[in-house]
Amino acid sequence: MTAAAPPLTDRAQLVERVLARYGERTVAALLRHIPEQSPPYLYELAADYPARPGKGLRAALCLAACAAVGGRPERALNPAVTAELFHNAFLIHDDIQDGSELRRGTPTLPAAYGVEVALNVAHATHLLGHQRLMANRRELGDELAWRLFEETELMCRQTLEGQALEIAWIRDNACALVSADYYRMCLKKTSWYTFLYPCRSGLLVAEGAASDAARLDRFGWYLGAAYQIQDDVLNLVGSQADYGKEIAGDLWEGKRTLILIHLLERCTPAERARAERYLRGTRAQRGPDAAEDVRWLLDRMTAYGCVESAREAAAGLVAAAERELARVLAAAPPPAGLSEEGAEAQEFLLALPGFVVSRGR
Amino acid sequence: MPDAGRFSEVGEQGSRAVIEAAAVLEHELAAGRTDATAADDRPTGGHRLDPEEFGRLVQQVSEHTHQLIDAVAARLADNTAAAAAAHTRRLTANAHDALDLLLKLTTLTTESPDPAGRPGAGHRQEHGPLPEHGPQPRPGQHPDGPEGHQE
Repeated sequence: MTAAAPPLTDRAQLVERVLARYGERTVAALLRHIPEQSPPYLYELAADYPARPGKGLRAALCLAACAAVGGRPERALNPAVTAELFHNAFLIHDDIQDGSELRRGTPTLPAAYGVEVALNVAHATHLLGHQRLMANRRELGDELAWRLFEETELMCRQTLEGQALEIAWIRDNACALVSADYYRMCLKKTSWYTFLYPCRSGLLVAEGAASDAARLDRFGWYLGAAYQIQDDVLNLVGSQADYGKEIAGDLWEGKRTLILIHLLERCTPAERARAERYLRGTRAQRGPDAAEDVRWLLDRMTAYGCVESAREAAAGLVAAAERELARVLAAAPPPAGLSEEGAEAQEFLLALPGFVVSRGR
Repeated sequence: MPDAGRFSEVGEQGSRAVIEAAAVLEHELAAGRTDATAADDRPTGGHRLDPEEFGRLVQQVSEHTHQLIDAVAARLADNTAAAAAAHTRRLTANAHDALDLLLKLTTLTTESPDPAGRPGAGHRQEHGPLPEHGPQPRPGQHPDGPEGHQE
């Protein structure tokens, strides 16, 4: 902990390596539990998103949190698979609701197969997640399985409520939002299931049902907020090849990002009126003619420094996440007292915040 | 930039973000604790009986069962000798007492409020020590039921 931090490239390589290893392990286990016998367009499509190249961040956090405090990550594999299954189910729902065209570089399930198939696959993916939760009872015992179920219920509730907030803002054309509104939505919609839930699950598996599983919440939340803000930035100024999703898709969809909130706070009344007029319609109502408005919004966001200030907010959150993690790991077994995988898990967690804001996808 | 002076606070965005994010998390965790407490309370509250509804059900069971005992006893009395008829009446009274006792025990285990406050309280005292669950006499009906069975 007190040793000099390795250069970012080494740390980034470490993160990529651990993500790849945990990801491979998790995806293999996930695919093993997808039924081979399938009615048409159901289980075989539940394997589609998980098999696409992704970061596997949630599973990696779960396994690393478990290993970093001295737990055996193989015991956390089932909860890690659960996190990935729920994540993929949420992604399908998200793609349906947003009318998104690309996911991880290829057409989304609704774009490729239609909404009716995609919706059913999302439900099947949820069901597979529930089956993994049930399997915890056999593998981890009643008490721990119940705690993990409670955490999953909370995670699902937070995610649905966050999604509801975002949908309502677009539907009701909310234009008087402040940054605290954005953070609340971000915590509920994305960060809980991406960061807080996997960390809590990993700690619970390592330490048992009585674990103070919330002690990585601040780390997870600051990291989650930074991750989402970075995602919002990449959506506007990233490269489609790296990002894997439609560039400026958030503007097309009228998403209330921190960047948009900053723009509405900073622009002139006339500009604000134009932005509000644009935001009033749905993506379908705007049609392809809205491309000029999208370009104009992007130009104003750059001119008013909104993208830059979002990056700065992300950097501040990353620094806070690093501080929080250092505080928690100070009370954990030192790397020398851990297995090789446990020591590496601590290094991975320490390197993750920097990786999040430097990523291209 | 159109108006650099209007957002010279850009350098503060990092710390401002952390303060706002921290406040949002604390608020959400506090709300979660409140929800969890409410969720813990719900099962108890959900299974608690409505005393009035329970009283009505007990009274209905009591009324119907006492009537059944009386009807069976009357049928037996019609077809037996005098000595056996007296024995039948005693058994009938015991059956009424046993029913009252059973219903009283049910009331105690469900922790209903004082049953003396419910309709029908005080009825069937002559059948035993726990008379409050006896049936409400219908208008014009003898308090002991259609056949009468005092000992």
